[in-house]
Amino acid sequence: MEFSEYVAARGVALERFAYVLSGDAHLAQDLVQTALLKAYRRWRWVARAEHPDAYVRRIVTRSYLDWRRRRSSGEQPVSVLPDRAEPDLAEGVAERDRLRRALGALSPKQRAVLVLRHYEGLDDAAIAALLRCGEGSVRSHASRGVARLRASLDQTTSPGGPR
Amino acid sequence: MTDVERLLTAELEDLGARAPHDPDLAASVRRRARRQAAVLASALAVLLLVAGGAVAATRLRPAAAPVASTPTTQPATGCPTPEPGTLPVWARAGFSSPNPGIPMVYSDRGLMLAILFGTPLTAPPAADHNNKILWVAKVGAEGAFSIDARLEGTDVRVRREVAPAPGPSIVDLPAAGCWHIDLRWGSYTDTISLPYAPG
Repeated sequence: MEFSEYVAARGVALERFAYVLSGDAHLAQDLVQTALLKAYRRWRWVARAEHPDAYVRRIVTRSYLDWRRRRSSGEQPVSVLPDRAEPDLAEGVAERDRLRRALGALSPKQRAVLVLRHYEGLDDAAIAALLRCGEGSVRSHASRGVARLRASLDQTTSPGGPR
Repeated sequence: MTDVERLLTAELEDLGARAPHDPDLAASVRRRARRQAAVLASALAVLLLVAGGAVAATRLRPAAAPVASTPTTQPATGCPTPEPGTLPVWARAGFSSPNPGIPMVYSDRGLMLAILFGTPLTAPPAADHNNKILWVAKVGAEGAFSIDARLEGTDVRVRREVAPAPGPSIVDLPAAGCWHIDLRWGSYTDTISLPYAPG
């Protein structure tokens, strides 16, 4: 498979994955281009691999984690651009708004694990291999991430809680 | 799967559906590869020239005589071909898209991006467009901004105070060719090469 053919076939999926992972349109494009650039430079090797997607996805994920690590001492990124819900909108919309905010507040690894598991559909073993950690660590990140999302949703449904 | 996980899955799917799309992604990647290769080649060329100059100086030096002169190092030849690309995050202020379709050239150290609104750059200036360049600095955007341009293969030099700080400017130069430019702004310096076509 030629590089152009691969990008034509898988580019959109990669762009979506990077955006779901980062929540930032510009960063997502940088992540995808960075990953594809690395793949392009060794395309013969990548194309022969059984799963070129796995290679590219791994670079996207690690680049994202590196980026979050570099800026971790700075501001908290608003990684999911909120569609602000008005108070009079349906509870379902408000709930998703809260979920997006909570998603943006997760640690980089929690978010990466949840995206790889619930968006990419990878199992724990594949996620562990991609992140170079143990499956127990994957389960721990996933569990804590979901707990934080749940706490955020529960908190905001109680009277007097933040929106 | 819990309710939260179901909600999360739906939210992630929704987010993915709203991802930005580059319709020419493969070409964008190839351009980026060429740009990086050009920067690397320039750096290697300079290293080789410096190393070659040092070796030549050593060989030419008489055994017991002092060095009579310092060998000169000619700059690398060749100009980058300005091509549209993806703006780096630090250069996107004021642009509605990170891919504005405007040719651009990075400085050699990557501290400055020249976005060429008037292309091709020409000398003398073309009748239908001017040589407008938007200079965007990655660091230190404050302070006087000047360019010291040298036409490749000649001793022709031009020095300009372009603006109080990197920003939009019209840079007319006296002859066509490849111009090697020293950039100075605030306490920063960098170099860039820009081609000027015959007007």
